Amino acid sequence: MAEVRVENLLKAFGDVIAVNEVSLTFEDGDMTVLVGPSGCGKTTLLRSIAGLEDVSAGSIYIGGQEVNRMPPWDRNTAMVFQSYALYPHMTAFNNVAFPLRARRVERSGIRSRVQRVGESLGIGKLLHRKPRELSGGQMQRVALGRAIVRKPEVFLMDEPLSNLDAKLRVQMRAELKRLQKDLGITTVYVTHDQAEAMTMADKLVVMQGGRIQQVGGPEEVYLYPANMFVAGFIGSPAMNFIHCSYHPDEFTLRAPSFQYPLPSRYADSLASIAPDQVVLGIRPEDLVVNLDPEPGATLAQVYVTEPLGKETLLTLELAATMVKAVAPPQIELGIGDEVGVVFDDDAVRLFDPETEKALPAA
Amino acid sequence: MRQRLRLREPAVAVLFIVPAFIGLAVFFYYPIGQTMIFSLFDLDHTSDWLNAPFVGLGNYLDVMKSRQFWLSLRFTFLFSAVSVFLQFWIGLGMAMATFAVVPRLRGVLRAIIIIPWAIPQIVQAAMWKWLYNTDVGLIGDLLVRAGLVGRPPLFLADPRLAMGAVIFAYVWKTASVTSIFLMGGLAMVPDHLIDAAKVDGARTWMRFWRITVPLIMPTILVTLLFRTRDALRAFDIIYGLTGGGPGTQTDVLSSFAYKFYFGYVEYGLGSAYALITFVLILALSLFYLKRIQPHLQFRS
Amino acid sequence: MRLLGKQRLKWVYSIGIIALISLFCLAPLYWIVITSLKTPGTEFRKPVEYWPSSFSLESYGVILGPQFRIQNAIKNSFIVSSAVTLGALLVTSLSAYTIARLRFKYKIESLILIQLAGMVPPIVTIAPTFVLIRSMGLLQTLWGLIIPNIAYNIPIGTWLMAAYFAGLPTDLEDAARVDGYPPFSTFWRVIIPLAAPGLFSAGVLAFLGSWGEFMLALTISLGLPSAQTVPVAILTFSQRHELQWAWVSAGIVLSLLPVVVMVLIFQKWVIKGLTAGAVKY
Repeated sequence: MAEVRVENLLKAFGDVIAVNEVSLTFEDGDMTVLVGPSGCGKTTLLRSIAGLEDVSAGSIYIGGQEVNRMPPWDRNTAMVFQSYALYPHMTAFNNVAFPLRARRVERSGIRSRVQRVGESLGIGKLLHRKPRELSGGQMQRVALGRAIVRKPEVFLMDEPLSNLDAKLRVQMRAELKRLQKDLGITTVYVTHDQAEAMTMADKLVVMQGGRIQQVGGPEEVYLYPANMFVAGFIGSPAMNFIHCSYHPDEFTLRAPSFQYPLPSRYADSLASIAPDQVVLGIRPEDLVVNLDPEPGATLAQVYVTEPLGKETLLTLELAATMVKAVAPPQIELGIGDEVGVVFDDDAVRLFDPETEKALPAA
Repeated sequence: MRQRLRLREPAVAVLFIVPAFIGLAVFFYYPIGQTMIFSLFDLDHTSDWLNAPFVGLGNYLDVMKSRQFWLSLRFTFLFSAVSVFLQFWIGLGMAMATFAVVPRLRGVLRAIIIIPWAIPQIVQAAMWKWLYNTDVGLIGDLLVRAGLVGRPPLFLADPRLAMGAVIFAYVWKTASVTSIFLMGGLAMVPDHLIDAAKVDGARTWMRFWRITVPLIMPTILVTLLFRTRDALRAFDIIYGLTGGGPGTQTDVLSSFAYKFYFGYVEYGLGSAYALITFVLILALSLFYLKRIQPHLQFRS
Repeated sequence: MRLLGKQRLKWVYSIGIIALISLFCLAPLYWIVITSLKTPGTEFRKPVEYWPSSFSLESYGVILGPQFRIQNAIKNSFIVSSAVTLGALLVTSLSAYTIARLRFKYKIESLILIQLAGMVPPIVTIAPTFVLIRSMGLLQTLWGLIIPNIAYNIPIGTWLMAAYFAGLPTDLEDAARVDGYPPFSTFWRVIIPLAAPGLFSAGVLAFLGSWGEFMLALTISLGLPSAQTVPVAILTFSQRHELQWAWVSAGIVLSLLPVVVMVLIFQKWVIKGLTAGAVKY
């Protein structure tokens, strides 16, 4: 168990910079999740910690020791791959035993350790099989077993659940999280699925274009996104953005057939910055749809409805853009219907359209 | 609109494959049959074999009694075993080298490796004759300069050295081909498995033996089969470099048989030799294939 | 490109590896080229000269000249190999298509027959083939070489093309079938364009294979220069002029040039072709 620290890490492939001067601390015992779209640098960062990529600049510390020059086999890390990377010519037992054999643990010890790990993961009876004789979920557990058996200082997981079908994925999420807590090993987890990231993380690191966009707990990142990218990436369906012009003398935000009074907590920052344009962000679940709008309420037209069973997803035409809202399942609406929309004021977030950063709120 | 003859699929299938069958029949199966027939006669010409004396298995008995035959058989085996062994390890080394170098230079290395293969065998024979030249040949001279020998050895005149010389010349070209085959196999080892092995703690040597080799075993086995077969029927390099000499020391079955055909003009005997060679190769191939069958299927 | 310490190290030992392998693969060639550039007679100078003290293109003049006319042999080889390539591609792609795709009852048997033929050592077929070519009156002609060589290519060519066809996606053929194309048209219009890379590989291999074919070429030519291909020409040349190594080297260099250049240009396809054969097991 150790803390992992990355300082000014830079990794370039020729002219392409995959990781752009990233500094980050992965707390001891935490499950830190790197999340972002493909190409954001999260996998490269992970592989650099593993030693599978040589860094172009910067340092990596595991347990306080600088490991830049150490080859992967000397670093005390274990990795679970998206494809599981099980050795096809070996039995599950030998797969799990491989790291022990590589480190020359004595024979007698290997047997019992592998057996124990196998049983704890529920695959004790399957160890004699080869990978092609196992199901996806079973292979995953073998991969996990192989990582655990060594008691490494750091776990590195590269989208381990992506190859599983949806149902199994959800189930494994919970199990993985529990496993990590039980073992207490510092874990760096990479995924492109924001829902997975939210459920698994003690700490969330959102990345884009090789840089960190925001670091924080899942709730913090969800409720207080640092910029428009994070706001739009985290949370599904994504946050709605309405581009407004700001009228300081009236403390109002305006867009075509739309106006919204400035939330008081933003008064100070807008006074000092005095922008012309502001982006208003509001999550679909923070919009309330009224079939019977009050006079003077904001109006919108239904573009399409998507019933999901537990709720209905509405796409509305509002302020000359498409906006998504969540409505209770029983609601009866058709295309073209006019509805009233009420914004949850506390949930409104304002962003600077040029820098895309969130405007500070009091 | 023109009416075309529209053939249905089974007919087309047959039509397409017929030219190949004709080619095989005329240039492989008919000649094999004819050679078998020739071997039963005492022939010194080929146009009138029906009237030639029938000797039944007499030719084969002569073959078995011939000391030269057994010597050439022995050398054929020696030649094959040693050259396949050498070309495998050198080829493997070169193949692995292509993966060990910086990606930009990989193409350059592959080009260099492939060049020996491109050169026709017989041209190589002429080439090596010069290289092995006792007075001023490159090989001899390098050995002298390296201090390994006092004077340039008589590569092609000394019986034992001639064997080695021929083998080495053959290996020079075939290591190239073997390397290419093995490169193909190595390319199929998935990167993520090697990555996993690295993180699991396996150093280079261990990764090679425990992961890479088992994974390319099918390729290795098939490669060995092909290379052994080719080695057993080698002709060009022997014919061109030593003519089988000195004497018949470096004769392999193919070159030896050829001498009977177009040297001594004894078609019957030559045919017997040729067929024995064929049966040998066939038997070994089939035996080998049987043994390696189980190993060939394991893809993940 | 940033070159850090570790990267620089990798480049250094990469160059080292390449140097070592070059020594093995290219040294003999270097020797031959250098010899061909030496003034004839000087190649026997001692101590051995690794760099000619006297340069001369005389040897090239000799072999291109009236005495040997190596360009004839090269021309012959080109004609033979080109014709073989075309013929072989035609025959093997057709038969490979049957095996790989069409409905045919005897696929396995066909494959066995073809593979068996591939195991046959040339020595077994040479005599009757000689007799056959003689009876067709094609001795000492290029056709006498072209036709058998097309046949010799069938085992490898069919295997390669079949493996290639098997790897192509079936959607286009399915679409063609739904659109009402008969199999013949499907083959020509759909498959052949798709299979271009495979055809290329097979073509290059067929060309190189027939270029280097020796036993038949030797037997058919019966010593007559006009029908000789490069391998035979080089052999007779080197046997007749045992001691004129500068000349012989020049001959070797000229005979190598076309093929080596070809291989270098087409190496990607060559490698694909060779590995498809062995690795598709």
